[in-house]
Amino acid sequence: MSMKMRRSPQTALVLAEFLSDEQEWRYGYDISRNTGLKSGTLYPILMRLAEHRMLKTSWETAETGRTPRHMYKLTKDGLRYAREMVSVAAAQAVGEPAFDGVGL
Amino acid sequence: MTLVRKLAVRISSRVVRWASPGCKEWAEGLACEAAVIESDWAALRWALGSTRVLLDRRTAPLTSLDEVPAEAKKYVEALRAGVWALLMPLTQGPPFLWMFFRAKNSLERAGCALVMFSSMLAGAYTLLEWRRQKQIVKYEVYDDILAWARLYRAELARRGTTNGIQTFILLCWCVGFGMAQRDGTLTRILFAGFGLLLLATLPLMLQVLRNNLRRIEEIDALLAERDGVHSL
Repeated sequence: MSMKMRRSPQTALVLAEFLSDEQEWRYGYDISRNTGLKSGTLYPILMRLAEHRMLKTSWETAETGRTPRHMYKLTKDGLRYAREMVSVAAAQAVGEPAFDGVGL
Repeated sequence: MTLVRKLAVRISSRVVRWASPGCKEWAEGLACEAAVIESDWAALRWALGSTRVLLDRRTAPLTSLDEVPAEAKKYVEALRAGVWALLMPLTQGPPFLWMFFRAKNSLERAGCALVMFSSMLAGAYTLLEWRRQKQIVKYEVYDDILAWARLYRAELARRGTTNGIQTFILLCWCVGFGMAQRDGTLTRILFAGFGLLLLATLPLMLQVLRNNLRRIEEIDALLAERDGVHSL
């Protein structure tokens, strides 16, 4: 009995963003800006990834006068899943007709 | 600090306060991000978006097997209290049997039959659950973490079925009770409303099921971790 990870285009966007720099810890707001996802969309995705042990979280070490921030990084499983999902999403995008849905 | 910024900070702090135990860390993360966003309006939009976390009601994650007995005991206690949730349909059987023979039309008769059916189901269910609860008591004799973990897992896994049975019985009772009313339009409306309310709790039940699945996965992970340590 296990919960399945939802494969949404937004999840693919977030994963692709993590893949752009695999080793770097990322901040939520930076991911939001780069993907164009709002906090209300982004965080449930991050929470789901963490729940499936694909994302690790950490708190930035506090510096004086600066709020410590929550940081995120893909785990090994997460990286594997991200590569697979992003390649599937890319293959689907290539397969789609360029003017699909456009009334000419 | 501008008014917009103040509003963003206030919303973020409320989200942190009201977030469920399992989402607290995420809410805090969102609040910290809101604090570093330079534009006030962007911070407000971020804070408003963070309220989405409030919809996710999660229990605090289990971090070690030592926490399992206390959590399992709490869960079993709640289950014990829940056994008597069907007391109302259970007690309605005999009076509706009497009403069944005095019913004036087929609608009333069908309503009485439905209430009696729900009463019988409630009786059988309560009896079976009561017997099962007596079995669970045996676990309390031992202070064995593994036994508690297995019991907790099994109880969580069967929660979906028990919830479904309870809802079905209560729905039958509501519909039957409403149908069996003689010239009771208001009572029928009230009971239909109660039935609809029951259906409206479905998302809440789904949330409970999701939380249970999450908890089962946590227990499995902790057990696997423990087995890994012991096999070294």
